[in-house]
Amino acid sequence: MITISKMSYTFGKQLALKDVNFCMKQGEFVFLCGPSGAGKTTFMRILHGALPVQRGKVDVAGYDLNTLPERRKHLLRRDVSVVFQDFKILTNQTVFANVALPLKVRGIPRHIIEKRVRAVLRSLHLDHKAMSPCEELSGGEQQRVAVARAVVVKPKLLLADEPTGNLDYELSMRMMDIFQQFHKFGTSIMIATHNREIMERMSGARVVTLHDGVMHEGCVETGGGL
Amino acid sequence: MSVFFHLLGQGVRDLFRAPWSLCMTIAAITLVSFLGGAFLMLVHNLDLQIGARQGNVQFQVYWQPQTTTEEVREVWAGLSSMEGVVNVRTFTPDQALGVLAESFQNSVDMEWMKGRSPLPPTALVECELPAEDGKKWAASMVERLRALPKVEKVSFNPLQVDLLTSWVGLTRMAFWPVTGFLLVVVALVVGNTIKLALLARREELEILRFVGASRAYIQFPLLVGGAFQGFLGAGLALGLLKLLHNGIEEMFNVPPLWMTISFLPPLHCLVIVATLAAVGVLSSLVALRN
Repeated sequence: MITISKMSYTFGKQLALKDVNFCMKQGEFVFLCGPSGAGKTTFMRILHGALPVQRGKVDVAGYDLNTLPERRKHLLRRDVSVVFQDFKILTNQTVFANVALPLKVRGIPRHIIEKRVRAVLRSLHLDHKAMSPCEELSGGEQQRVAVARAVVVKPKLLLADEPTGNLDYELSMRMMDIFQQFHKFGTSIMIATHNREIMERMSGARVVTLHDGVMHEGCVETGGGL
Repeated sequence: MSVFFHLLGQGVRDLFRAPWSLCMTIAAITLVSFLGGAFLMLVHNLDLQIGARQGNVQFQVYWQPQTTTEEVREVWAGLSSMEGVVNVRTFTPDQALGVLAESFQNSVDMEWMKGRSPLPPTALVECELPAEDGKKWAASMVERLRALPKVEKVSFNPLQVDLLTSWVGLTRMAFWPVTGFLLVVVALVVGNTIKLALLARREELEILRFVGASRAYIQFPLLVGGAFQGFLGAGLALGLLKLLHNGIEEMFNVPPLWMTISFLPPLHCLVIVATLAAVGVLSSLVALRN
């Protein structure tokens, strides 16, 4: 699903990622840990095509990101969904409109959109809020809308950047259950998190750590976020 | 196909999300298009006039005031058959009085003079000027007209043709620079509106990109918006131009000009609308690329 070799990324003179080698198989569940500023978000943004590959080779969901032109990046984004740390939802639109958006841009017929969006909202306990404007929702509800929007398209790979950051314990666990369900249906999932409890909940999942831009296999004590 | 129509409607709907910005843009485009259209109408009418009069010269023939209508009608009947004559307009004393009253925009009551008009019978004789020795021919034509029974005076103004030709030369020279300038102004106005719309909707467009919207899906409504602004501005400008035309249509249809102002032909109107819509699309495209 993901093959990365010797990938480095710099912001000006600041090194964010250094010679990262990483491989993720189809259907794998990976936790990406590391302290704040370790490069987790940069790593995810590169995988999603939001940042260009500066050095090294990156292949995601069958797309060679070294050669993928900007005008074809939407194809990558149709196979790879992202849950952003800051949600990135349209706050002036309803929950339903937000979750339906990725289906609409794919030209899916309205009756199918209706069915799929309702099902996802039900599984995330948001069905009663379907027609509420997102600006009226709490942070936790907005986060669930972001997750619903990411999973509604049944992506091959789901990247989630701190998806439980604004949720209490109970909702975090429910969210992980949802991720687990999608994982069972074959979706590869990578979650960037500080939360040990959710990692413990997914006992069989693989853990990788980013620290000072360098990737390590397993959970590494950093003295920071973990 | 349904996505196409959805995006088409989306492009127009999105413009109304900022109604004031839309109003200002449309006002600017309408004003610029109106100026451009008025300029085109001027060129078009000068072209018509030169087409009708180029190479022709008009002689105004005045008969003695005491000449009777019967006497003068016999002479008028023979005027068209004279060598070089292409058109003849005649005026009995009463008709001449009517034209005079018209030139005063009927503000002077001349009805009481009907039947005892002091004006002489006149004729406007339009002749084709030969390519060579035109002045000599015109002088001989004056002599021939003067020789007609009871003719008192013959006048002609060859400078009229020269003046028109100079005007047309001038407007043709100015046509492309003026048109180009006006199109650039429209492009800048539409381009800036689209840029502002992009800035205002930056977050929304970013989200659309992240959920897998293709470039066409994102850009098409913006291009439609640009085209719509150009289309609407051009339509309003043509409407205003028509109002102006209604006001000035007969303004110059008085002696000695005899000019009826024509409105732009349908093809020109179509070209104006299509050009402005195209400029709207192009400037939106440039704004999107930047």
